Amino acid sequence: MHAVLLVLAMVAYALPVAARLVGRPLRHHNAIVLGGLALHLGGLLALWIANGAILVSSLTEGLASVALLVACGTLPFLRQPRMSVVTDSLLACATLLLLAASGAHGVKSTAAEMPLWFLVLHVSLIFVGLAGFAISFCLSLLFLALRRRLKRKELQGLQDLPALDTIDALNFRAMVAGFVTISAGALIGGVWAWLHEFRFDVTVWATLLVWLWYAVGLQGRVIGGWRGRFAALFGVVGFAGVAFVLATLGAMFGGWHGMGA
Amino acid sequence: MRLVAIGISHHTAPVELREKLAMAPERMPAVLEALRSDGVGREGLVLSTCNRVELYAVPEPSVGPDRLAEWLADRAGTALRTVDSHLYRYQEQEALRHVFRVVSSLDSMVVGEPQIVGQVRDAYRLAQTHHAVGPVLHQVMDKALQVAKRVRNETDIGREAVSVGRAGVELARQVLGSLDGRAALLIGAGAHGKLVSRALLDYGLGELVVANRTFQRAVELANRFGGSAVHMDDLTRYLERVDIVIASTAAGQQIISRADVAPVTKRRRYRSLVMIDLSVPRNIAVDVDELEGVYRFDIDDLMQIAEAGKEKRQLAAESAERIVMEEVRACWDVLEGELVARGIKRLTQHGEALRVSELAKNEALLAKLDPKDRDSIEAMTRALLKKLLHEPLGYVRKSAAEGRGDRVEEIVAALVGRANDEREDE
Repeated sequence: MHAVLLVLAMVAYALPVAARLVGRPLRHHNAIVLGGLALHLGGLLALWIANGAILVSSLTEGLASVALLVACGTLPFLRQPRMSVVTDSLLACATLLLLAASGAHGVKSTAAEMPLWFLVLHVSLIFVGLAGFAISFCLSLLFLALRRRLKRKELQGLQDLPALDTIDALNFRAMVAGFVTISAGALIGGVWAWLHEFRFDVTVWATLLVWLWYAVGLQGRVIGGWRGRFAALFGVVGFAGVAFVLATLGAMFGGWHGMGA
Repeated sequence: MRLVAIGISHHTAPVELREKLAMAPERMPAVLEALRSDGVGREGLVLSTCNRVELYAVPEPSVGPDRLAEWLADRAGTALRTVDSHLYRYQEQEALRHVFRVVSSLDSMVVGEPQIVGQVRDAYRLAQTHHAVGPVLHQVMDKALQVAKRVRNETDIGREAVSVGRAGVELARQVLGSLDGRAALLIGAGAHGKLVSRALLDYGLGELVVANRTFQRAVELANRFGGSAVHMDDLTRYLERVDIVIASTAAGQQIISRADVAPVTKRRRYRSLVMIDLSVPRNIAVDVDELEGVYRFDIDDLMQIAEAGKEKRQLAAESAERIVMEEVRACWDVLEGELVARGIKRLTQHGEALRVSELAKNEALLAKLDPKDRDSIEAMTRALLKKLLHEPLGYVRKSAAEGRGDRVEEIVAALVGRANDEREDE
């Protein structure tokens, strides 16, 4: 059941993206996106019900949850025609994350000792952080593409796209939101581990690296004015690193903190 | 008659080539003067805007369009070969049609934009002041301005125009987003610069700073726009503060170089800076665009934005083209009619002058005759002149009726000679 719902959600997200790629605007764009969100949420609920527990620590659920958060990122822009390209790029990202989630099924890891509420808080904050970085990644790519068009003087049709500084400002917000929440999530997990049995595993190292990368990027922006292209490159490279870590975790270490399967 | 229109425009050449032919207003009197002194044209008018450089001329009979093109390039200080393939050359009715289309804004970057009428009027006035226009160009330019008015009144061409000002606003907003509270620096007092500044203010621009070579002019402009005036020496300092720079001067040279902007970008902490260069030749170095956070646009880029409403303007433009063709035919008939009338007048005046001169030579002999005989001789000379001119005048009228008005001058010149022509003109 949950698999069907998640596949339908993926189709609903992919439709507006495909329509944009072929240059035919979708008639009921917003209704389809909202329908996709409902299916997505329904799919996750069905999964939890089927498992009899909120298994936020499985990679499948993790990616599907991040995908849902990224798709929810479209909600503020649905009624803004010039922001439709942002909406569609977030939907493309959500589609890919759902696709990755379907490929990562079965990989499951649970820090059994951690109380459920603590685990949910820790992992949820990490997911929100990852979603923030994913949104920042999409906005960074959009920024670089739009900047390239402006620099190359390919100005036809730009009136349908958001302003460059608007994308940059949104990118900054997404990056800050991602950084703050992932910091909080990592801190909660770290404190608990410190009090029990702390050990440096791949996830911890990867999280530290990612955290450091974004910390440098944000610091550079706030102190040195690294906005625009600098910020976009940080966003792209940062999330590419996150994606690599997630793929590596799933393929080589059996899930979060290498405790799965 | 030979009416020629030679030029280069945004349709045929990019701005980097147009600026090679561009002529600053202060050079125009010398150019108009040289047209006659160099023996290339009897009448002439030069239109130099950011989108086009054109010469409308009635050339000397021996001068062809290629020689005129060479002269124009030479006067602009460039080699003909660099621009030759981008130059268009129109003659006679085609030239007249081109002039009408240009003045009616059908050939403009933004079809229907009204600025071109003012620019043509200024060029016409300047040519009149320097006695560079004669009977043909007077007729052509007066009619062209009337046609432009008719096109504007009878079609919707002006209503659908995306103005240069609006195109500038769109570009600024594409980079900066909202213009609320943003600051702009206007350099120069060019027409397009003022249009863009006005449009930016209408769209919420917070502050406008005006710089001009003549500080008093900057103060006047600043007062008009509710901004402040600065000296040209302070430009670099203001580059750090503002979000938009609009350059619209007739300086004919670079005012802002990459070296001026490069240190500023870091101090601006890479905040976006939109630089709109509306001048031809351009005032802002092209390579500033390579700097982080700097987005430079020129008049050709504005054209791309203006293209957006092109389809809507197409319908209005089709009606306007019909009006232009109708007016071209009517005006050409009038011009040819006048040409024929002038030719006939010259021939008859020339014949009459010869008759009177021959009678004067024989005045002593004629004085001995009685008045009746003298009258008979006078009547005989008149009749002889009439018979002599009958065939040539018939040929002139026939040529005009057959649409070969261009031959009239040739026939008259053959019969009367250029020297006599000029004497009679005087």
